[in-house]
Amino acid sequence: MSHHHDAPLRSSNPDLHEIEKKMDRRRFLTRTSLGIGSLALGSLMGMEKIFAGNSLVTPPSPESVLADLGLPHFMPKAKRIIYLFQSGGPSQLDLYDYKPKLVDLHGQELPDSVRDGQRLTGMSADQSSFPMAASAFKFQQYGQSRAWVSELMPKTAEIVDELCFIKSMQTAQINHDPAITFFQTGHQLPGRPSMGAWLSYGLGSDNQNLPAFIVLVSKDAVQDQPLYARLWGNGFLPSQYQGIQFRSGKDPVLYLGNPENYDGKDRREMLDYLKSLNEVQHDTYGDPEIMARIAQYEMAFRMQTSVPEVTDMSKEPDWVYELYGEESRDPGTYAANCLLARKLIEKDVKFVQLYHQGWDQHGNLPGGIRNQCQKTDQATAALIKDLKQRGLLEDTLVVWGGEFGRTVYSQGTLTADNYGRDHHPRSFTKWMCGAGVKPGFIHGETDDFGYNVVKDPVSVHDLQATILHLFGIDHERLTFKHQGRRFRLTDVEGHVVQNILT
Amino acid sequence: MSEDLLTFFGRFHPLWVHLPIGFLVLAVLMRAYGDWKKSERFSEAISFSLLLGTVSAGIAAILGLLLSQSGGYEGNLLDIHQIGGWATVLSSGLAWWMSQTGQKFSKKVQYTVLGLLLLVLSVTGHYGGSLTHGDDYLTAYAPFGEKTETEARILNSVEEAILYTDVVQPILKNKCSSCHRPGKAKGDLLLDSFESLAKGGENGEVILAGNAEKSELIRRVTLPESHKEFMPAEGKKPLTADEIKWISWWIEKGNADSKLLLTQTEPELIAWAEPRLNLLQTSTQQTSKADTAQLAGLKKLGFRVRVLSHENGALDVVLPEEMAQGKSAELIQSLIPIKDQIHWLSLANTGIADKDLAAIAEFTNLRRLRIENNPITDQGLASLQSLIKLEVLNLNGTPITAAGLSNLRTLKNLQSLYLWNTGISSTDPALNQWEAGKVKVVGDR
Repeated sequence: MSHHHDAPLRSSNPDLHEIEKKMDRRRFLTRTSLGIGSLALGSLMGMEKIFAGNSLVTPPSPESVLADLGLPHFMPKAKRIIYLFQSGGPSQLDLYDYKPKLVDLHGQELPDSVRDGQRLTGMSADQSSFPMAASAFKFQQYGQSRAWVSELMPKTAEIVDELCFIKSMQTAQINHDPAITFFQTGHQLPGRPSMGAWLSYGLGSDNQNLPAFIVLVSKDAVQDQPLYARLWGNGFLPSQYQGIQFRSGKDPVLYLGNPENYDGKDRREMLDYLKSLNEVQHDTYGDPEIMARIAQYEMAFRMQTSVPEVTDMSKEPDWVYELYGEESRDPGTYAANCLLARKLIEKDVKFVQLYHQGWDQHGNLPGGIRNQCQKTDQATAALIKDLKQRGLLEDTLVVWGGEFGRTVYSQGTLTADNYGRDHHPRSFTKWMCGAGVKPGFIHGETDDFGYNVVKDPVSVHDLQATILHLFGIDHERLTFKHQGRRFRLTDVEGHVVQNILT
Repeated sequence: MSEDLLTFFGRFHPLWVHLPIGFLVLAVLMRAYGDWKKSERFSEAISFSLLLGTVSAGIAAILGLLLSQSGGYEGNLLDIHQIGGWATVLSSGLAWWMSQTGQKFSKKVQYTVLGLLLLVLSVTGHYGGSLTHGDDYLTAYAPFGEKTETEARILNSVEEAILYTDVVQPILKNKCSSCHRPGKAKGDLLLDSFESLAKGGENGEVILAGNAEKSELIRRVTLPESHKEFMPAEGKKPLTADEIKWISWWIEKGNADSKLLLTQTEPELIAWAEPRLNLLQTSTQQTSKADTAQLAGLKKLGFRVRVLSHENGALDVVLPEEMAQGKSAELIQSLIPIKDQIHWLSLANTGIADKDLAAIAEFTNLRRLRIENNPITDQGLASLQSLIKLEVLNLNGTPITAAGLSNLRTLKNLQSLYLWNTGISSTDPALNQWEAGKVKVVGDR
């Protein structure tokens, strides 16, 4: 096969010629009356944008999409985000939401007036009693902000003056899958784009050599509840916006090296020719996924150099590993992922999504949560300290939290030193930190039982709207038309939580 | 036939197309008039007119085809116009055949065909017009069309600017006057002049001098967007936070005075308003946005460039370590044409030295500057004195000393200063006055 393809493609290949001539039913209908009629009507009414996504219209380049949408809508505070997702539902009552009155109420029945007829999960609904359980852990106030933190998180306690606690998070979902899906996509049913996909669609990529949205899943977590690729999926957005999961191990992306006996010298030429073939296909069928595939091939090509570079830990000095904890030397652990997240952020990756599973303590909570905190506390705090001293917290947002909280009443039998807690969507704690968020701040409040929010509730959509706001995006104006409707991350809700912004 | 000759004939298309339009519209009008008068006397003329229309439409279509082939036209508009043209030929041919064949068609069928003919003709004509004059030719001045923002009056200097006339009024005109204007006046409220603004609407006064919070105008624009009384209504573009802030300022601190000069207000407001004024000699350059070609050029050189906000065209520019490779001095030069748009700049790890900072001194709109891990000394810091808008400065890993910090005294807007891994200890007394001045200083761990 010749290595030079100078002749124009269209005429050079009879097969392609045939494809070009083809007219199927759908094309016929779009090309003739229906197409003209609707386009003419749309144009007359000045609504060309309705037809974005129509196959007759060539998909515009990412830059022009951004310009058309006027994105970012206003000056951003954040440039990148690290989302430390604590999957399973960490117990706010044992970590940050200190409820001293529970000590006296320990073992007593949860008053009906507090539960207020709330539907419980099938796991504890048929319990004959709902004894309240005070936390087995000691709490203390820290920093200038006097934030309460339990003894489980000694390192996080050191950085409370950087954090903005939201103690009044609420979600509509009570089970893991819909609740995580809700947090990550703005809807409890699968199929919507994830927040990272929306951000990379809405803002493009800063570093063309790395994906804008990278996902890291801890290998050292108790894998009690599954995670699915759709949580970082693109939904109905073009597929180049989906999150790229790095493997938890020495080789985060497989097959980036060249195979044996191949020097890779003509790969560029091969990709160029492949691209021109794909473009002909795209001209013929107008399927935007063909463009996505071209973009993905190009990204993979650039990742051959950029990924080994960014994942190379050999240049990190020892004090860094001491800061993040010894586990950070073992690729794929939560600690190592925190360190890698910092390295990716330094390279201007827009969205780094960490997942750490294992927070689902229905029983034996004290032992389980202690183990979770030991694996995550130091590295989380180290990441914040590291970002701060490097000046990266100025434009990097860090979010910590799970998909819901845990109940004040014990699931299973309450003993002197053991209890469990069921899923609790009505109130839980998350914290944010960095770009544009008030440091050393506490937003919202729960009642003495830690059961209901009594002040400043924040919904999942509110949180999402706030994160988009920090990126200079009006969450009501970042939309994508799909199946006849404009969709957005916050669906039809969400208010920016102005109170937590600097 | 040579190509030039084809083009020559093709160019008669815009002239010729009016012929079939005339014939066909005439035919339809005669038909309507005849039916109205219940008279058959036009029938032959209608048939003839349709025949002429068909033939001339055919010729127009052929000329159009020649014209399109001479280049310069492409895209969706052309496709639709072309298909529409042939559809006109076919439908007028069909109408003619129906008008002269012995067969009898029901009125319904006849009117359908004529209606379709008119529709196709209009659509084709519209797209043809759009091709020739641009797609907003028709709608640009239409009452329902989107107009470009009204230009404010021209001023010779900032000193002339009046807060109401040159800052507040243009905002109201831009955001409110599509509904509150003579001829529409929703809620009996006009916002086209100070007098009408002061007069208020059906619910009384909308501004209360000295009290922005109690002013109905401010209340309505600061409601949650979903509130039914939120203004601007019907999903029109809302006022930005800054716009609300400064209108409130005018009502409250400016006592809603229509004569108050901009220069009599506060520096922050002047700084905000100045680039929005229509100044004569000006600095239009300053406010103009960098064009996409410029940005593409910089990307080719290896910069990471992105627009921070489409409101003001501010840019975030990063020179990646791997692209600098000893060329950073000359790469910085290439930023000079867009220096006023750059609000965030990172030259971290690029090996820039003191002399390169001299070039940065001109980047006076910088808000965030990252120059960490470079061989920059105290002398270089002197160049940063002019960056008075700077809010965040990262000097981590540079061999600067506490003495050099005095160069940064002019940076009144500084909020964060990063001095990790420098020659300055975090306990250095020189840092006290910074921290007392509410600057966050981040030093050694």
